[in-house]
Amino acid sequence: MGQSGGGCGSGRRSAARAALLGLTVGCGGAGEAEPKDSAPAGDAGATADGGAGADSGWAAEGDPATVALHGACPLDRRWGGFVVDVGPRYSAVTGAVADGVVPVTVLRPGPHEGDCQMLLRENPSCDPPCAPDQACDFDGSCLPYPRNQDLGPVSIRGLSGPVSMDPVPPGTTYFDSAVPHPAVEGDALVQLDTAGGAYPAVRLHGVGPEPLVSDTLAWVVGEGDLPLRWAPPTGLGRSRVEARLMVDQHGLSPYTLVCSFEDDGEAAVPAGLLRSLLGAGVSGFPSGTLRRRTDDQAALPGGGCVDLSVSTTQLATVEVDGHTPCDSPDDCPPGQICNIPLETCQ
Amino acid sequence: MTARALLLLLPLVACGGDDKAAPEAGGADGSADGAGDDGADTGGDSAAPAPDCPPAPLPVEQAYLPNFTGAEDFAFDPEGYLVSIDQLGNLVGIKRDGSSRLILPGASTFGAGTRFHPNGELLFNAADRGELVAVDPATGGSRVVLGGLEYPNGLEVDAEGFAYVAEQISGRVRRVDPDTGDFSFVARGLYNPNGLSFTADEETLYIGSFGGGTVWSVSRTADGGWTTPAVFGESPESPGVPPNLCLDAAPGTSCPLFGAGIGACAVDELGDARCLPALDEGACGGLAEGDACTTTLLGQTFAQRCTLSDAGALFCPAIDAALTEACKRVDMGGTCRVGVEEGFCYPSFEGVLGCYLSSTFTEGYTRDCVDRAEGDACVVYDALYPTLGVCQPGAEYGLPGLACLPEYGLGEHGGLDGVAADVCGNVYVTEYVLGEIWRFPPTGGAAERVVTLDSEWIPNLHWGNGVGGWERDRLYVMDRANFGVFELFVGVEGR
Repeated sequence: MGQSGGGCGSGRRSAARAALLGLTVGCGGAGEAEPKDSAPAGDAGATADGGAGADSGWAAEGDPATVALHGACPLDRRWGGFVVDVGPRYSAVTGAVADGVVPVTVLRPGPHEGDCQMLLRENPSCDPPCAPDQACDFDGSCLPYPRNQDLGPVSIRGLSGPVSMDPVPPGTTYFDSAVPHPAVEGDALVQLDTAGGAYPAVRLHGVGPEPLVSDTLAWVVGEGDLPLRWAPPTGLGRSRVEARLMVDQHGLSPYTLVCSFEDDGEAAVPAGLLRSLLGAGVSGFPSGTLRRRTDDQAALPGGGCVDLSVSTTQLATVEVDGHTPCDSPDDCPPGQICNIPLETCQ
Repeated sequence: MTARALLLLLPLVACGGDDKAAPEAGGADGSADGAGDDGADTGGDSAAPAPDCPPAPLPVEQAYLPNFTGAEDFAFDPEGYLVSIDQLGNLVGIKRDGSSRLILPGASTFGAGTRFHPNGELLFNAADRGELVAVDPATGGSRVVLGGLEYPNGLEVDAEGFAYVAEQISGRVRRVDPDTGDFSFVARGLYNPNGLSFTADEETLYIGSFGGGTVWSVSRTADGGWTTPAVFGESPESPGVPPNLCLDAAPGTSCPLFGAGIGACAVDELGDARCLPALDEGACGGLAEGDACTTTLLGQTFAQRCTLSDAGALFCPAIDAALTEACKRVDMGGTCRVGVEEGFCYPSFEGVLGCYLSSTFTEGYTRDCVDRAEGDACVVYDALYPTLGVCQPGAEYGLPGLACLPEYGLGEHGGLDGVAADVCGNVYVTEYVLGEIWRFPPTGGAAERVVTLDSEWIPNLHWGNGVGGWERDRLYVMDRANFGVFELFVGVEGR
């Protein structure tokens, strides 16, 4: 467990959530958004050639072996962030930063073990329903809807091609859907700069992940630990490997099991947490991802946080073994009864 | 229609006119066969040819197209792309030849209903954020149309451009103006509404129940409102929709939160009698966390300790203290012990970890029916998930004598997901985890099996748009399990 509790949030729930987030991200480290010497805050005008940083080539300056990486933002302070992801078929660059947190995106921590943590997505309910410009909070109140902010042009150096993004109206989102695939080479230093707009300029870093090769992408979730193997990095090894396992409960509050492992080639998802995940119900579609990633964050004025994730992702197939869902005795093998509330044979 | 279906009709709420102009009844011809005039699809001002009915004989032939996204829903665009949100959360278009286009990275980690608006925008439900989102496919520019939706899944769009969103948790269907986010209610008080589809003339909207196995129909009224939802049909072996016990109950009466324990009847601000979660916060008034408290539920009294809820309020949990004590230093899923019996820790319906003991299962389900007759209302005294039910023969469930069985379905049968109507008035539904496609005739009633697909997860289905090989007279069904698409040769076009 990394940094936890304390300064990440306020109040009891925030502390609990912050404790959770210490698992994968830690909450300290980065300071306020740092003024960028070549792009004064408030200069949101994009240039025809791509805006910020388009003047001096696209290699990031610095040493990927030592550049500071401060982890991802805690969910209850995460006003937004940027993602560079190399998927199996294409690469994607995207980002958005708002002026607050949409409550439903703050996942409630469940049990944890080792490098793994259960997260529960709760569904807040507001009566009467909130207006279009409002978001529903967990206490049933309606909040002003967090609005994405114009950060000015955003450039990313160190990728396989130049990336310079202006905010796309009307939602003020940033993305580049034409970045060459793969978007980043292993151990390449990645540097993201916002020119400054609604917030002062921000600089974030990442290190390109080596390709993620695993021979355990067919996950069978049964009684024991779920073993995972992958080829460890041959270079700098700045990354961690995240395994994420979700069972969509089709409307009920779903748990997600998230693990953040050292990138050393092997790990196991603990049986106890897998049992917890299945105990929460398996009436929905199970899915899994294995992701090699680096994360960096910076604070925003007003208590917010923005982060950058640079990752490569593989999809896993998930099969639930040793669990028989049921809603009638006919669904259960001889000698077992259907536990109706848990929808499982036992 | 089953007895359950008859009961179902009672709680449903008709919704009156809204603040926008009443939609014109364009296309409604009052035809007895429900086929309408087919005008909605062509958009032309001349008479459309009569639909080619009936569809192909059953079971229909099928083909399989691999290498798509396994998304919850999808839509066909004018360039021949099947547009959907992939497992990485990106909105992508994929053609039949495998060529693809990344439209909007980072669209949603759980995208659901997906439809094109007449103006060319793509609308989708971001179920992970409770939002309806609009995207310009040309630029990728996106905006949140409306937030605060309670598990928005099904989505439909009419020719005027209004979006219809089914909120599974709240049991509502909203009609949303995508330009402003303004909304009105089409139906409320439904059980897990999910898939949506209009008839060809857009006068009637079909709503599927995920878990109830029921398809309702609501129709536009002359004043711009909607009729009370009526049962159009039920899929075979579906559990039916449970009755709303709060309709005639006093506020505060215990009621079943289907699949989520016990709540209390209340009238919400829209005037609907609903069963809502209700923690006993009053028992902890003036007390601190950990202080002793006492609460009652279903005639049982529990001596407990004041506990902080997820919403940050102190309440007195309705669960045996011995069960919570056994899980005090145990994580969810961990082993616990009460006396000599071993169990595992599991959250109660109020979110408090308690020790689940399998030995209590039989007693919990039979205790209240010992002195009752079959069909009587009863209580399931499950230690973690108490609920209400009806006394029924328990042998079927491996239980002796009469057992108290809850009246809801969340399992395999009745898990209707996608709904799609053809120009002949037939209504097709997917039964999610069973791979079944059912077809109801235009008059509703009994469904017949169109085909059983080799997949455990089939969410939504749509007709092709006639572009890029997506044929208008074929139904396409997403296969979440294998990331492919089934192509069904139904021989009749969609609406």
